Amino acid sequence: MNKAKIYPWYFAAGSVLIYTLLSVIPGIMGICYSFTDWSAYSKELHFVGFQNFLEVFSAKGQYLTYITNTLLFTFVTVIMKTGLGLLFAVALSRDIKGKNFHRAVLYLPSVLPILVTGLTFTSILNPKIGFLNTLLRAVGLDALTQKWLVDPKIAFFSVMGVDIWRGVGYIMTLLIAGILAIPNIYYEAAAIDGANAWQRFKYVTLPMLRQTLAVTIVLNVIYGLKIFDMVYALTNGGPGHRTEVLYTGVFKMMSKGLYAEGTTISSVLFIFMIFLGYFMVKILTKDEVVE
Amino acid sequence: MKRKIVSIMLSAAMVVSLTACGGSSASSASAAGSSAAASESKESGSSESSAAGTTITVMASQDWVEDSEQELGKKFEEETGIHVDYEIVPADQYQDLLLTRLNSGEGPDIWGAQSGFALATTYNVTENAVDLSNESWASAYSEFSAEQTGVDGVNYGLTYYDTTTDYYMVYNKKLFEAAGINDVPKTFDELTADCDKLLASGVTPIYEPVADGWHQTMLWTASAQVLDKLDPGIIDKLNKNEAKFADNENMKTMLDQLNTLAQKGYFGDNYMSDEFANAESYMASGEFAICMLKPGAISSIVANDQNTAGYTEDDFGLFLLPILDNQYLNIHPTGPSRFIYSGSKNIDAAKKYLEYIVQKDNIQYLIDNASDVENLPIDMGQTPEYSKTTLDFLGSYDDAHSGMVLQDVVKYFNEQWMDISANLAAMFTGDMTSEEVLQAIDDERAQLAGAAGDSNWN
Repeated sequence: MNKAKIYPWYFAAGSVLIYTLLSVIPGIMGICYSFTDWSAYSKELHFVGFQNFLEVFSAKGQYLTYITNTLLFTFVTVIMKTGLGLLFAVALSRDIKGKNFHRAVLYLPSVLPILVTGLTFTSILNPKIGFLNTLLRAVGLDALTQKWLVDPKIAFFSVMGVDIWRGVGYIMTLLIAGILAIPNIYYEAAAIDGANAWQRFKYVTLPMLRQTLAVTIVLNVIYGLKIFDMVYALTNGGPGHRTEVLYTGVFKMMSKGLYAEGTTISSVLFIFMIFLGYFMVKILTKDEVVE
Repeated sequence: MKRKIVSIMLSAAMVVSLTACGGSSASSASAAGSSAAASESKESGSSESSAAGTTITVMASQDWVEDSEQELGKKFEEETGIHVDYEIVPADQYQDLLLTRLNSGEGPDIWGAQSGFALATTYNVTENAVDLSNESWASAYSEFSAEQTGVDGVNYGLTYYDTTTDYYMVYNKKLFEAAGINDVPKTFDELTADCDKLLASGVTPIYEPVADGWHQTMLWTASAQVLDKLDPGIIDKLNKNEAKFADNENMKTMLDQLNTLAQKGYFGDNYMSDEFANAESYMASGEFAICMLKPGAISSIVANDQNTAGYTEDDFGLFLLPILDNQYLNIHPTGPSRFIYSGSKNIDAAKKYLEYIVQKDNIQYLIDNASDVENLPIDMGQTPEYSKTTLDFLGSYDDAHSGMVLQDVVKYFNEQWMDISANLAAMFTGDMTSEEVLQAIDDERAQLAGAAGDSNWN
């Protein structure tokens, strides 16, 4: 059966039109503005070519650090959230005592608004009066106390840690759904063939979870590249500029009224995402059956 | 092929949905920030006759709104029926948040900002604020403050902050005596020697709250009046773009000396996380000996719960931070001021609020109850409450030994206050050098001046 006959293209016309008006056109306008000197200080608009882009990629500014930080954040959080999410999902899809309680505990942080989480953790991670260091000192682990959000060497990892803590439950939930959808007969067949737990995970669970994992990775990558509120609430880019990411940079430029510079950073992310998005969607749809 | 097209379309759709955020906010900023929208709202605002039952929002940075003012807000509601909603934003996020709201046409009814040069450029006050030149309190408002909250002879703001004094180094005399220090430091070498003595006596010398992202810059600018004394004309040259921060050896020395204070441990171990809100309690506890504060803060320190040692106001004194051996009193007539948003639907109610808080009794109420406020730059016949310490200290500097703080005299500087603070924090942590901090100031000044079309930078 040809699906195209059932769903003609114009069925989507309304959505495409609204989407184009609300998302595509503003997005493209943003790119166009990055070739101008648009700012809050002047009503005139001049074409400046690639000047803004040259500034973004020049060693003079902090923008390259923002780009590197964004990519590092995305890479680390995707690996950790997926790895830990998978671990918890496998553990909590078995018949263990208090399974639902554990699932709820892990999932709850992702329900909290990011700003609330961020502000709570700024208090918890305060080196002098914060809960974490106080707890460590109380149990005699003074050596492990850190200046979590203000030591330049570890501040960004603290931000990542809080984000992983918040996001891992959500990924776990998606993966549990994926694991529970795997028919039990595969596990029974593998067990009859003498497969141990690791082999059942490696040869049954993992291959059958591939599509779900791909979805979670895509979601995580998109989230990571867009990261703003968690960094904003925890460190606001500090100490110094150690934890600045692309969108905190965009926010600061926009709030200063330097719109062209702000849209330029957005455009850089746009171009990067075109390439990344293309390959990710390609991988996602790789094994789909075309009818 | 078909699959490839689907892939491209899906990826493009995903990307567009991501970047639309930046793009759309930018375009909405343009549309909503237009003067047409503002003037349209202006008309609707001014046409309102009765404001009772409405709610006005006052948006301000942390520490800009005294508790006593919020109490006045409650009384104001009782008398007029207008509810006042105070939106207090953490200092390190305030400017970004306010400008984003103003630039996107979503400003609060009353917004707070530092008066001075930046009003015309950064805050675009002529578009974003209402003319307050003819308000009932205008004639009592300090002429100099009106100059700082105005543009081209039109006053747009009300400085509701004690600008009659600035921030000076408040110190604990008993801790100084216990450490064997007999006099306040007048040179940088004396300061470091005194800090060493304080450290040796088990006291952390200086409480420096870097976490808020604004205080550390003040350590520099409140001492910078010495620059013009050492190099007359430098301020004028900076404003004409004939001199650069990065080329100025005196500026570099000042930043290096600040960094020395951090690196030698005079700020303690936790200064990157320390907050301004805790300054008084740490000073009251005797854990720290010095902090840059308004002189009025001394009475708050004494009244603080942490004052278990029983310090009295006489146990605290004032001195100038001798960075670059500065001994010129800092004068800072600009300060946190209130502006009524031109796009507000409650302009009349907002004007009533300003009119209410500057009534003689209400100013007096603020002076009597907000311990760090000794006076306001508006003379409604109130009685100022300068302490003897403040009067003696201010009286020891004549005009020849006074000077305006850097942000009040140098253009395109106050606008980047939070960036400078972040860069100074980066200098303390070793991520930037003093030269890089100064170069970053020059770069941002060029950026701001360029955007403003300043002919001196073309």
